[in-house]
Amino acid sequence: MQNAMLRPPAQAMDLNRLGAGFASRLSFMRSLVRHMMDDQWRIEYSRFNLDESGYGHVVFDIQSPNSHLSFVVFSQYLNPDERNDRVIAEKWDLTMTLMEGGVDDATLAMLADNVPLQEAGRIDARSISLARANRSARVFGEVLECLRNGQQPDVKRLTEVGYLYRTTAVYGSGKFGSCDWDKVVNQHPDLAQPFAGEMLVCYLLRQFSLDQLHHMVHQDAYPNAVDMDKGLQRYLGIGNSTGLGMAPWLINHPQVIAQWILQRETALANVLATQVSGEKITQLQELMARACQHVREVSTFDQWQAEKNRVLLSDLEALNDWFADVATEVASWQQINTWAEQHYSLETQELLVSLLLELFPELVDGLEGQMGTVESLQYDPTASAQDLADAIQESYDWVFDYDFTDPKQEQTFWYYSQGKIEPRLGKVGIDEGAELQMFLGIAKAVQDCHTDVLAMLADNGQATIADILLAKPHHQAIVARIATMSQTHYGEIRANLLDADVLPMHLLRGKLAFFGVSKFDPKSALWVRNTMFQGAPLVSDLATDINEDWSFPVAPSMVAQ
Amino acid sequence: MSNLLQISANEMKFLVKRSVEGLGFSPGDQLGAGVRAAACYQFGLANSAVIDAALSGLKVEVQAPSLVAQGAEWVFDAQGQSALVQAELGLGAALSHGANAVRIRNTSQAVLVAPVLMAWLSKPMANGQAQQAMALYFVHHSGAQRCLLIAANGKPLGLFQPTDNVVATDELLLRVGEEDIAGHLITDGADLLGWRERSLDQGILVDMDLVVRLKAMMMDSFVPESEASRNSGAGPS
Repeated sequence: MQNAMLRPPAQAMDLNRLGAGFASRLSFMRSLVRHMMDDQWRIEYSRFNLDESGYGHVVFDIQSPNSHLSFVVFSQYLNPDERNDRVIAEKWDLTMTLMEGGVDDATLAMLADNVPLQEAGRIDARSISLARANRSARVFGEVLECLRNGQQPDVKRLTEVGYLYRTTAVYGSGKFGSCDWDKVVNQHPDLAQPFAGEMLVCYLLRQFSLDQLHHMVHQDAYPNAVDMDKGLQRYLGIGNSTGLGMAPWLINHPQVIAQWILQRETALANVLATQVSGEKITQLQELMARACQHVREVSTFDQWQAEKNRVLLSDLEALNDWFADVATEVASWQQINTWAEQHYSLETQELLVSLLLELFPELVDGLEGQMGTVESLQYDPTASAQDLADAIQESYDWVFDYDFTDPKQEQTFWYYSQGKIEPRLGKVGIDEGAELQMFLGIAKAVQDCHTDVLAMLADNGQATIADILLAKPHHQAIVARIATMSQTHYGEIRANLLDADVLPMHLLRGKLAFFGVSKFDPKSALWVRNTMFQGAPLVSDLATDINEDWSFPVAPSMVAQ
Repeated sequence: MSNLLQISANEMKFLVKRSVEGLGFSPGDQLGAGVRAAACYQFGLANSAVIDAALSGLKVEVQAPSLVAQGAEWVFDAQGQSALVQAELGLGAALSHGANAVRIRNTSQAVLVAPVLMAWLSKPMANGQAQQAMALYFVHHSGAQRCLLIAANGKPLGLFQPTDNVVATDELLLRVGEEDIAGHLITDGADLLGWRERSLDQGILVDMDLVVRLKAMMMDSFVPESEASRNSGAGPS
């Protein structure tokens, strides 16, 4: 293996590139499923109390190597007029919690009184996550009717949607009385990777959606009812609606993002430094073919995304042609990667990264244990102001690309509404609330701080960081950020989130790709639908030797019914 | 008996941060306040009365403590600001210039600055003279003198009742390099860390009145709901 070279921060942390990301072996869904399979997690129902319409409650009992957990789901009738994916919704088809330990009658009663209320209820520190989901109005009824009549559902319809339910919020980290992240890390090591608990919720929700469906299918009134084909079951994932809340999270947790990027880039560097072989090239081409089909099956009415998908497919075809032309001359993975960077779209480049990681599990999977980090933005008051100025020059040089004398650079503001604390976006001079905007203008804050630091150093070359802050206390937050992030390899996401033309979608996709979602379907510039765990093994598959490579799932080939 | 609510440390952090933001404090003050309120609660160093009093002592017009004297002790005037915010600005300035003792006058709920000191010490400091055990003297909410001893690596070593009164009710005193406290040990470091573990396991119990107050205060950091905002701010549903 040659020496591994990491892609530079200017490349890896560019927001446009993050917004072109794809799921990979390091994505949290993939690593969770690997762990569940490798460690033989035992998952079964301890309670299954649903009526013929699928309403009621169930409890999953989960035994992982180090924890005994329960997943409790409440299913209730929801008037279609009340079905809303936004934070401001107040009723849902399904509500649920993942908690430690078993569930006795008293606990179940407490949960029944609170979990369906979501933000308006309270859970306790036994709960790890609180979540909710809405039924896909498009497909659930159709699938139900088919199976009751002894027929398999239309694969084309399932391809368009890809799920029976979609999550609209999955909360963790101490929200609404649930336990703090530190407790998960200390007491539940099987969930101690970022978002592992939340991913487990979504995985079990997907299993519940199939089990509830079959419970409703196999009622006495339908003697000809059949189970859904197993291949189709695996093809169904769980939908997800993600809005603006994810965007400020990315800016408010820069150490976490930098750590995720570092692991992925380390994995890529490991792969690029590996000897190329004809066998692996063939495997890559097979993965490309599958990814092509996967992208063809993406259903979106969003012209922006549709055009990106079209370009991606065209690029992949060209890449295949290039392989055919130079097959015997490919000397390294770096050569392929460089070719892609020189000739294809960002989406194609990032898809290639994900596929390259897929080829070498032995170089990649071990990094999943390093995705977490202890968060603390802090400065050393005794450090010199000159060190701070140097850190800005070295790690934040990109902020000087923005000219904040141009009002366009500060035209967007981000805020929380009093309406259920929903994150929203506004335009300065047009929308109300700019004076209450979130602190997301990192580039502007660093520029302002730099100006004051240089001024103080001109007066006193021996000034300390504490001297700066005593004189200019409003810089305390950005100084802590600079001091911390300049110690990381990748630093900040490089973007001005106050720009008039900022695309929140890039932030959403950047994070969702690390989750492992697929089939991005933007519904506006501010929120996106996507699919989780599509193609993943079912709970009944976990103890089998089923192939764990479920990346870029494609619709099963089935004879038309 | 008070009506208590079990919340997580993260909730406490969020509630306090947003409440301080609602008053108009800077992002640094907001973040610092949330972190130290949650941390002190977890260590058992603060309770609802401390947080409540600290909130009442906030003065948005004050931005930093002012330096009063630079002798054997560096002395700052907090101008009435509670130690939920800004006290670290004075402590940091003194430490960065090698001071071994720092007194901040005209403040309240001084214990709240303890998590800042722990965080600073948990990493190597540029000025090695500051990287020593620190003794934080303050007046407990019961009215008694207390000293929190923090190891050079940031771990709490113990909470003491000093033999002599060294701070006034509205003061804090930080002594650097003081490893032996003249006084009685009330709670040792293992107990403080154990209390934190228990808080993590079971959550922290907060007076319902404080929760109500924080929720009301934090609303001032959110933009009032409007039809226009609802329809366009988060994308159409």
